[in-house]
Amino acid sequence: MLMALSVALGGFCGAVSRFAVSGWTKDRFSTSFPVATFIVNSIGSFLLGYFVSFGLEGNLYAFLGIGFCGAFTTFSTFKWESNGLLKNGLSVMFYTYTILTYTVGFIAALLGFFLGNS
Amino acid sequence: MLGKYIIVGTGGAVGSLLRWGISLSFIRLGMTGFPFATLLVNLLGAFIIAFLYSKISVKRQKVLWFFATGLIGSFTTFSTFSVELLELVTGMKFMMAFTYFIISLFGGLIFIRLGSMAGKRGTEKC
Repeated sequence: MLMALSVALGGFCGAVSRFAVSGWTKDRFSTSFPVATFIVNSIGSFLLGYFVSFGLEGNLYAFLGIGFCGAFTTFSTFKWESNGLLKNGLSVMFYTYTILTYTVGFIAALLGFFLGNS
Repeated sequence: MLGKYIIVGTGGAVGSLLRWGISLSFIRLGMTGFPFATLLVNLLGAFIIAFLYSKISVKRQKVLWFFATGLIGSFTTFSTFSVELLELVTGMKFMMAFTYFIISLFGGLIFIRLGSMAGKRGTEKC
């Protein structure tokens, strides 16, 4: 029960933070590149890699890992936006966004892993 | 103006609980070798978010904040995908890692297209 509450609370904070980043970038970047989603997915992958690397578990993992990182990052919006770029004929940006998201996400998780293990 | 954060956050709490519930079900079924749970939530979520954005008018901002940005945004996850991919690679399960990546890469786009088609069928936007 406490674990479910931790997941829900982490999810609340993660979604709110993602929404805040999205608002913040809209005021600063005027580009069709989905900056906000790219930022949250990269930072979130780093954080989760870090938390997993030192075996964070129990309610704290439920809050920070499953809840916060899980909700802060998003796959659905990432794919929705990338499909939108393709539909609008911005194919170079589509490839850039897709390749950057997967590569930086992987490297960020790896960095988090190393940082937590050192 | 704080209201929109509460709407998105509440959706996020629900979405995270659903994702956690699905992940627990897969663990109980003993399906732990391949990241089936994340794949399922991500593909299903891609379908639903495209359906919502195609079906619901942008004027109904609060509905979209709750269901699309909050709930489905948090139901699906990219951090877990990255970390699982990393674990498969470091565990030398290269074929599984490659399969996981390819299905997410193309499957995600296919489910977005399917969701859009489903959302545009029949009646106008509501």
